[in-house]
Amino acid sequence: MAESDLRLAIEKFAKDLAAKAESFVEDISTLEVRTFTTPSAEIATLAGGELDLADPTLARQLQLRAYTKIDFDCDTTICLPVDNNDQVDRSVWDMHQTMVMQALKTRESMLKSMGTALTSALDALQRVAG
Amino acid sequence: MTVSRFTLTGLSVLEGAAALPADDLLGIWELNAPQTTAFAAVAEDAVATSSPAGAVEPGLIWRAELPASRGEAKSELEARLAAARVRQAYLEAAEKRLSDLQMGLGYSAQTADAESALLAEVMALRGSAVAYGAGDAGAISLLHLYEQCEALVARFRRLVQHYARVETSVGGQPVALTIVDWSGDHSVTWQDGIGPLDMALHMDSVRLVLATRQAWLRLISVVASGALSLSVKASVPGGQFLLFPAVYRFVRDVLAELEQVQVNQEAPG
Repeated sequence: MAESDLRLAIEKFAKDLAAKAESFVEDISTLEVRTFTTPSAEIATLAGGELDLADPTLARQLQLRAYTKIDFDCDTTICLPVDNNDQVDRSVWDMHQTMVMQALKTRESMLKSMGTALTSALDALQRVAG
Repeated sequence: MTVSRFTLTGLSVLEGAAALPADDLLGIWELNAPQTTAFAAVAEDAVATSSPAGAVEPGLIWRAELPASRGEAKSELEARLAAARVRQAYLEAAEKRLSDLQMGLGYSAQTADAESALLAEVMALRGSAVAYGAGDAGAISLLHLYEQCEALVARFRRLVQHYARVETSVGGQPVALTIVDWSGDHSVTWQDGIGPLDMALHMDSVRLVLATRQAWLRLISVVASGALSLSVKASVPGGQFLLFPAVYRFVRDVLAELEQVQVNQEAPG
């Protein structure tokens, strides 16, 4: 390994970070929260793998119970969980709402983190330039 | 299960990972520990049977394995969440001390051990006590520095690349898993019929993972900007790269030092 390898590794990391920052700006325009349930005998089989809903085996194991999409301008789409009598399933709905609140907090803190990281990077660059 | 375990898997596959200590700087997660839960056993089996070696880069999996006693589990999670907040504050202190470092002073004049150790390393890098290999006793091995630095960059890169996958089990039984995207999108899968206590435990597990990830991202910016500004202050050629591991160690030393102060303050008598 030589300095050029290290330089390449750092450049790759910087590029990844820049790409993440770019996609973050695009992705953050909407926030999506999905709540699934699965039979207790099957939850362990989900461990470690991808949650790819296009996978028919996985799709049979998971039941989408609630969905929320919030646009940056606060337009909101919500799919409510209902039981066999078309009544809102409170237990699932409560779980889902809690996750939505958590997701909003996460997005807020990620915005702060990205802001801090970019400020630090700019500050460091200014010191080098100065 | 009567004891909690908090593990993060996926970092051991990094090239050069052996060059770094296998600990979480925040002292909250066991890195790459052997797995024992039902969740883990199935996951490892799936990886072994479906993924040819090197074909797919495995992601990072955060597992909270909690005891059957919900009260104990809750206390343990709360303690770790509090620890994560404290470590975040320590990171701010480390950044301030890094920025206050005076190059003009001899390192014996710097009061704290962490500063002295960092300055000693800066001076060695600035001088001629650098050898390419490990054969020259007493010199800094440039090769070793590169390895450490590349492993650090790879670790940071993986953190940035992957979403957080959080799996919670209580009393050895899997209860829920959540995937949190980089931008905050959540996909949560609950076991059918999960109770409110287990639900709250999983929520706290997710909070703990997110708090840890935030702290690690903060660590990246403290180390990267610290190494860059120190290389300018100390005029170390290539220092923005070579000082990466030294600044990382400095931050780790400061965190350990502040932790010790806290322990001493809390000790009776």
